Amino acid sequence: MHYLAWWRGTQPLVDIEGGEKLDVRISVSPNQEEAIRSTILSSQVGGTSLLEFSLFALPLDTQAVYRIILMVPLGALLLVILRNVVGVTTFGTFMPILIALAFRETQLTWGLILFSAVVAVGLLVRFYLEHLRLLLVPRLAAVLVTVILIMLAISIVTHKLGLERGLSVALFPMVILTMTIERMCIVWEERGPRVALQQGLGSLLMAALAYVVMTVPYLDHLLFVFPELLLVILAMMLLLGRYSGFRLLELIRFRALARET
Amino acid sequence: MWLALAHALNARGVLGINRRNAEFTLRYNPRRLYPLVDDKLATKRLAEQAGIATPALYGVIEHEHQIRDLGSMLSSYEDFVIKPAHGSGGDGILVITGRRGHRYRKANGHLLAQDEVDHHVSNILSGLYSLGGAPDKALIEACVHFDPVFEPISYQGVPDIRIIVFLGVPVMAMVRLPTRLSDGKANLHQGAIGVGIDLAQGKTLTGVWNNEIIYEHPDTEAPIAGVALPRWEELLLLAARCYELTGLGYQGVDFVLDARVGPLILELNARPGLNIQIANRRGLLACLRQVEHERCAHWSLNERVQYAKAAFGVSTSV
Repeated sequence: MHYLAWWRGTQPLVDIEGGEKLDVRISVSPNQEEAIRSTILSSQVGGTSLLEFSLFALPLDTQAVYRIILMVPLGALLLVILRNVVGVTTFGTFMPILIALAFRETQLTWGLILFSAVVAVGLLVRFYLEHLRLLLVPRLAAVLVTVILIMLAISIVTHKLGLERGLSVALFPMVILTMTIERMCIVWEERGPRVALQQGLGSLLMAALAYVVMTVPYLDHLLFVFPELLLVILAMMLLLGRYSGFRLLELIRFRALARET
Repeated sequence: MWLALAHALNARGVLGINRRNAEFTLRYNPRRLYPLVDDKLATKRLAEQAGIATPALYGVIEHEHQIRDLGSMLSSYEDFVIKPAHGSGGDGILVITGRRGHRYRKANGHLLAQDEVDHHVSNILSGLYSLGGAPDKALIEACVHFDPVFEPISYQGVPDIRIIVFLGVPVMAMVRLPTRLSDGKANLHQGAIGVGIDLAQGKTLTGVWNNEIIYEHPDTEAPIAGVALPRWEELLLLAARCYELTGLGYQGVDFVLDARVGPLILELNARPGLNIQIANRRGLLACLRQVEHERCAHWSLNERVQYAKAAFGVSTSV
């Protein structure tokens, strides 16, 4: 059991005059930066400080940006494993990472709901546009505008309903959403709805997985304090780049061949 | 359980995508040679210079404004195929088998209006089917009238023959049969049947449809196995020649057998798929390793084909 002293002395913590029902609350939040700074400072024996050339020397808002950026390689590593060792396919190589970044703001459940809503409505509009026989780039631009309109509508409706989480839909990467809708529509037409939904759900699942990995507080802390860990991630990627064994899903695909003698 | 499965597949010499990329396509196919096979028009010219026949070219659409004249350009042809020059995996290929009034009949019997065909060509030009979405060309080719040997075992559309050639030696082959499901196209992931071929005799083995082993064609119910391919020796020689033609060490050569003109090269592929192993019910890796060890650089074309027939035929193989 640990105790933390809040107040010391003979005087009371607060005094009240002309009022009653006194209520005192103390909020505490840990400040890691200061803790780390003082740890490093206290362990230093003079000389120039490496700290001056670390992430902590940056302005606070830049630090906040790097806190997010440093998690991207982790998501990319997960993606490499899922694609080359497991064998999952997604719409667009890095799409799940960018969606996972957006999930940081929306939280997982809301993120999944909002993503599905935007893509579903976007697909409906995209199917309608098919009838107009538009050229590719104007069609993509039209879908992009539609995506923004959908995001706008979701924000306004959820705000009116008092669901503030819905506002964070604005942080979804709209170009990525547009490309996802376009690719999904093509796969739908060429290979059928089953394959399209399968790949769509696969991408969503990978985004959710990437989100879970990229928001582990322990990993977040480690990568921010020791950004050199990125070199370890880099090394793992180079190793995986030379992995020539079977992919997990290939084992299923070729299993008929294993049975024969 | 997973490990046991991986072990069994390794023992059978099955090639996975990672190994194909790392040890075969990346090692034996120099990147600078890819444009030769990625652009179907370039492949066509290359083959024709070497005296190898390809389906007749009716026209090339390169610019959006040319689409306005597409109708009149096609008016003299009863049937044709429209394909993207940089397409992959059979995506974007439109097979027109006839006309009905002002409309075109697709391989599966659906009718298309002129503006629907125009829109398809426009999509091709915009790069919808090309790698990375780069602007593309649309080729209009003759629709092949395939050899009657395939009549009982194909449903709408043209069956094609894929031969994998490694360092100039044919190592494995299959026939791809279109089905109702595949909409006249011969790509396995679109629902076509893959049928293994005995390299020594050019006879079909069993078929694979959606990863299932089958003995009869699902639409025509004719037996698939034991069909002897005409001019098999000629096909093997043509396939082996493609090594000198492109310089790619590991490639897939796609043929169609025309009833009148014989074997035509449809396209070459620098990253041929691995389903051919399921169709033949044997692993590719063992064959490739064998060629890596035993092949001599000075072998003539004929020696390579004879080696292939002796080493990789079903009755003759180890």
